[in-house]
Amino acid sequence: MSNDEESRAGVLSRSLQPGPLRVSHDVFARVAIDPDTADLVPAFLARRRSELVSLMHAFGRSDYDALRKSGHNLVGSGAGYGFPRLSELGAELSAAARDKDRAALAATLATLSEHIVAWHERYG
Amino acid sequence: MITDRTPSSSPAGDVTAPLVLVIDDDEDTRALLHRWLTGDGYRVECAESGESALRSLHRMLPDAVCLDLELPGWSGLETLARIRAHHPRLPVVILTADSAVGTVVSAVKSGAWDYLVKPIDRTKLSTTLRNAVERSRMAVQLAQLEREASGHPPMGLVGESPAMRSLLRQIDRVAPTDVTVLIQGESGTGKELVARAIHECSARRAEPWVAVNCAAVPETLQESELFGHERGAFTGAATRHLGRFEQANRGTLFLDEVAELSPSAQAKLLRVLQERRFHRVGGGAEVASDFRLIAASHRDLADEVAAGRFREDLYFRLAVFDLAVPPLRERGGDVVSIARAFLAERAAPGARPLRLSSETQMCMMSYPWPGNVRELRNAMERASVVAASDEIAVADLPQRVRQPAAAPAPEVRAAASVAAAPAGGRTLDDLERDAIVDALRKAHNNRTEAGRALGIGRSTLYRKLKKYSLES
Ligand SMILES: Nc1ncnc2c1ncn2[C@@H]1O[C@H](COP(=O)(O)OP(=O)(O)OP(=O)(O)O)[C@@H](O)[C@H]1O
Repeated sequence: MSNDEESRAGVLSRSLQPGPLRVSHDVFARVAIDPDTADLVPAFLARRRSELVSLMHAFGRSDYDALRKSGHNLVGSGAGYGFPRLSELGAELSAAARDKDRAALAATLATLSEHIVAWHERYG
Repeated sequence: MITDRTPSSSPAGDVTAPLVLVIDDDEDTRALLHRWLTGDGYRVECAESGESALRSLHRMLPDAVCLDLELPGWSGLETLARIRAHHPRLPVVILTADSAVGTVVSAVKSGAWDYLVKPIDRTKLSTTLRNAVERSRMAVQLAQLEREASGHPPMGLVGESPAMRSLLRQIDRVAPTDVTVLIQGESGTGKELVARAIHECSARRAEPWVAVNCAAVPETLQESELFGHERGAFTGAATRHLGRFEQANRGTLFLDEVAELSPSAQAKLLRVLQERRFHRVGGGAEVASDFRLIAASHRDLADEVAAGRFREDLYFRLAVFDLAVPPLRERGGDVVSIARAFLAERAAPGARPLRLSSETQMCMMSYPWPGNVRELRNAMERASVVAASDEIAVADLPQRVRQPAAAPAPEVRAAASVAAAPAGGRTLDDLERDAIVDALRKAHNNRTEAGRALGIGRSTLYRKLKKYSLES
C-alpha cells in the first residue's frame, strides 16, 4: 500500500468505529426522503453500515467483482431511498473496481463510509 | 423519523389490479420498487433471479415485468430471451445501472418494451409501467378482435352465448403464457377442446400436445405412465420408457380427470410442478422437462380437497388459473349453433348440410343435455342418419330428447339422485347400473360404443364402471 492509500484506508476504518464523527455539512445537503418510503430508510441505512465491513474485506482481498457488484446495487437503490449522493458514490465505486484502481477505490470507500455513518446516525 | 408516512393503500386483495413482476437480485431495490408500485395500485411479485422468476411465471399471469439487467446466474439478457420465448406478449421493462449502450440496444432488439437507467426515477417508472400494462391489456383485446373478425372460433369452439364468450376471452388471456390451467366442467362440455385451444393459441403450438386420461390408467401404472420408467423398474419393464412428462417437453401436457390420480401420483405430480424435474420410476438420473400443464376434471376439485381425496397443495398449484366450462344447458342458443356445426361437418363435400326445423330447435333448447356437447353430437349423428328429408324433424331426435320428462337419460337420473327416492325398492343407482349393463351388452362390450349410446364420455363410463364394480 502506498502512503496515500494507507491514510485513506485509515479514514475508512476510523469511520467504522463507534462514537461521534465530525462531518462536513454538505453530507446532508441533497438528502430527500420520500414520505412513502421513509419507514424503510432506517433498516436500509443499517444494512449499508454493516456492508461497509464487507466492502473493506473485499478491498483487502482485491475482490473487485464484489466491489463492482455492490457499487452497482448502490446506484440502483441509493437515490430511491432519498440519497442521490449514494447512487453517485456507487457508480464511482463500480468504475474504480472495474479499473482495479486501488487508489480511487480507497478514496471512494472513505467518502462512502463517511456519508453512510453520518446518515445512519441521523436517520437510522 | 423525519416524516409521517401516509400508509399507501395496499391493493393486495384486489385481484383485478394489474400484476407486475420485479426481477432484481438486490433486496433493497426490490423493497423499494415493491413499495412504489403497490403505491401506484399494482399487485407486485418479486424474484431475485431469472431462474426463480421463470419458475414462478408458470403460476402467475403478470401484466408487465421489471427486469434488472445485471443478475447472477442467468444474465438479464438471457432471462429476457426466455421470458420472450414463453410469454411473447408480456412487456418487459429493463432496469440498468449500466449506461453501456451496447447492452441496452441488445435488450431492446430482443424485445424489451423499454428501459430505465438506474437510479430509477419514480415518475418515469410510473409512466413507463402504465404504458406497458396498457399495451399488454390491449394486446389481449386485439387478439380477441382478430379472432372474432376472422370468424374462426379457436379449435372449433362454437358458441356465442355470454358464457361462451367469457370463456373465449379467458382462453385468449391465458393461452400465450405458460401458466398452469385447471379446467373444470361436467362431462362432455368440451374441456379437452378448451385445453387444445389453449395449446393452439400458445407459443408452444408447434411443439408436442400430449393428452392423458388419468381415469383410464390403472392406479398402479399411473406413475410409470406419467414419469416413465427405467429398464427393469418392475416386472414387465423390459425397456426404458419415456413418460408423458418427457414426451411433452417444450409442449403442453393435458391431464384429463386429474382427480383420479392415486395419492402417490399426486405427491409426485406436486414435486414435478415445484421443481420441473423428476426421476423415472426405478431411479436413474434426474430428468428435466419444459412442459406447460393443463389439468381438467369433471369433479369439483375443491370438494375433492374438502373430502380429503385430493391434496390441497397440489390443488393450489393446479388452480393458478381456473376455467369453468359451463354446461350446455346454460349456453342458450349455442345448442343450435353447435348442432349446425356438427351437421355441416357431416355434410358431403359441396352438399348443403341438413337443416333443423324450428320445432326441432325448440325441442333441443328445452332439453337439459346432461351429456352436454357430446350427447348433442351423438344426437345429431343419429338424426342425420334417420332424417327422411333435408330437414331434421323432432321425430328424428332421440326419444329422451323428445320427451325429457318421460324418459330421462341415465345422467339426468344421476344428477337428480340427490333428491332421489327409491323407486319400487330400487335406487336410481340401480337403474343407472342396469342401463350401463344393458348398453354394454348391446354394444358387445365395446365401451366406446356403449358410452355413445348412453350419451356419456369414455371417462365417465370408466368411472361408473368402477363405481358399480363392472370393470371386468
Ligand atoms: N363449443 C363447442 N363447439 C363445438 N364442439 C364442441 C364444443 N364443445 C365440445 N365440443 C365437442 O364435444 C365433444 C366432447 O368434448 P370434449 O371431449 O372436449 O369434452 P370433455 O369435457 O373433455 O369430456 P369428458 O369430461 O368426458 O372428458 C367433442 O366431440 C368436442 O369436439
